[in-house]
Amino acid sequence: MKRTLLLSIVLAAFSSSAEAKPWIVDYAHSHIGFNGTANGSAFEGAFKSFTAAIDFDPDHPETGKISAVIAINGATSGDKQRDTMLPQADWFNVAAFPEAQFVSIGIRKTGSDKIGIDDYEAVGTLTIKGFSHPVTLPFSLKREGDYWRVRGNAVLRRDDFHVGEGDWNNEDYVKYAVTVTIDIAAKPAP
Amino acid sequence: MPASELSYGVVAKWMHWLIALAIIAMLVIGWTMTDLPNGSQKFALFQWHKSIGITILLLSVLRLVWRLVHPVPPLPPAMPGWEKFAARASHALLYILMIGMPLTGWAIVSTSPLNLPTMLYGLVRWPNLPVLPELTNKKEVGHALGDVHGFGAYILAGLLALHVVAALKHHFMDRDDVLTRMMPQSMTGLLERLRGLP
Repeated sequence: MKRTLLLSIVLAAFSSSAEAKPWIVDYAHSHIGFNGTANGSAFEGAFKSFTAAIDFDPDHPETGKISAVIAINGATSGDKQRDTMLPQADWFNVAAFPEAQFVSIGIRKTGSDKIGIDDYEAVGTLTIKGFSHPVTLPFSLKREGDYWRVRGNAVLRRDDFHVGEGDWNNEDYVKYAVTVTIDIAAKPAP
Repeated sequence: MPASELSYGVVAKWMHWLIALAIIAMLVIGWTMTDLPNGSQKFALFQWHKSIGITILLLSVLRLVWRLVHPVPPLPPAMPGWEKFAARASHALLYILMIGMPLTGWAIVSTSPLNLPTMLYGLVRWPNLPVLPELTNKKEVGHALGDVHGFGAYILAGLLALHVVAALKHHFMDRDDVLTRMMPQSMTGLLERLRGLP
């Protein structure tokens, strides 16, 4: 009995220090957006909702795991015509692929402590419209009271994911490069 | 103000001039946009062309209905028979094009491989015509419709020129009221002075 208790205390201590911990995301103050260039002018868009599972210890980033599921429907980009078009088959084909997923494979620290901001890099797989591609997502971590502010962005090519098919599969109207931006408030679970 | 026996009413005049302005804008935009390379300018002009085109369609249908309820003033009795026939025929053809051009344009949009939703003036969603978007050969159908639409534009431009020249002929040579009765009241005085005393 004593031995078991001792063992479990040791195990618990071990797991809390070396293993990543799940975080709580404050969705009201978090957002995932995208921006690109259409018809020569920059546009900015936002996804309506997402869920993220963050298991992350800032001191041991290599043990961390981050995944996110992003709802594509209801994405807005400041233009009614474009927003009506995005769910269609040529673009996100929301009927068949309502969600995009990101799953990290590895996380590492890339820099630290310039005015309290630490930089990391998550390498993972992004799946949009059923097409998966490796993506590197650099992000920074900054303490904001109880919460941590997680900010990052990654430049993707929409054609890698077949977003914009047929007569849209060129750069005549919409550029291939699209930047996805994350801005998330989260804190380790107590 | 009701249409008097010899003049058009205010509503008919407004519709006439709005449609006239819109048609001229459409010819200019239409010929410009088809010559542009793919890109933002071409894209923007196409959106304007669609918005104004549907506006013309709605205005022209309204104009036709209004015309049925408020008969137009008769042609001057002095006009020779062949002129009366030519006037009626060219007006009928104008109406056919005022409605047919937007309809063929709408059909072209409905077959577009871009599947771009039409937003009138960037605000109001306008549906595609039925059947056409589902055609397997919609690219070819769209090209054929484009040829018809483009040919129609030349006919319309020709008719427009004929319409203007005929109105001026009526005013300055026949010296009748065919032009002034479609003009705003405030401009009839000026037009009569331009013509000189009879």
